[in-house]
Amino acid sequence: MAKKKRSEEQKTLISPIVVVLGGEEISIPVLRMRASREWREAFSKSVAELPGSVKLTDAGDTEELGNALKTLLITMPEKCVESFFLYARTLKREAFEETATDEEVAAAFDQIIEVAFPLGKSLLRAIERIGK
Amino acid sequence: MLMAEWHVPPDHIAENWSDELFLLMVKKLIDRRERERKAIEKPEKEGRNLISSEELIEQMGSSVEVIKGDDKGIS
Repeated sequence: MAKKKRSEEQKTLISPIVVVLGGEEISIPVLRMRASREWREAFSKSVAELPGSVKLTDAGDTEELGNALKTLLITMPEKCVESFFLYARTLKREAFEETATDEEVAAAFDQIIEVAFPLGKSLLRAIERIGK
Repeated sequence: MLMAEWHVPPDHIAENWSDELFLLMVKKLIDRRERERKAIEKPEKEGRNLISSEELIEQMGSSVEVIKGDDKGIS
């Protein structure tokens, strides 16, 4: 499924992120800057623990970044799911763990990343900083 | 600078704005500044069409009648 970019209207109104989990559409409130920064720090810590085989820093564009994130999901799925539910704090993890597919969680995580790292390459820079 | 521009305290932004909104606002501010800069530069580039008052009088030539104070009865 092609990823839809958030419109200016959605950004201005801070519209929730709509993801599909367990076949149903779920709204996730967008974290405000302070909370988002805290989430990023926690996420960065998780990524820092990644095995060296995952080279997100090599990703040059959005597609490569997406692929790198997929690798992250494959190698550290638990970390990603954990990070996802840390962001989507209004959701009850147990409720979705039974119904949501891995693909749905991967797509939802991707959407969260896009909002939490609005400058596409921020993630790369963050990862680079962690790598140093 | 940004705070002065938006008249919003930093704490309010951190607590109420999303990263996306913040970046959008910054982009819009940059765009506006760019438009303002171009608007200022444009007349300067077209400044060749502007002439000094001396040049204007010269160009107007005979169509301009200079009335001296004496002629108006002013001593």
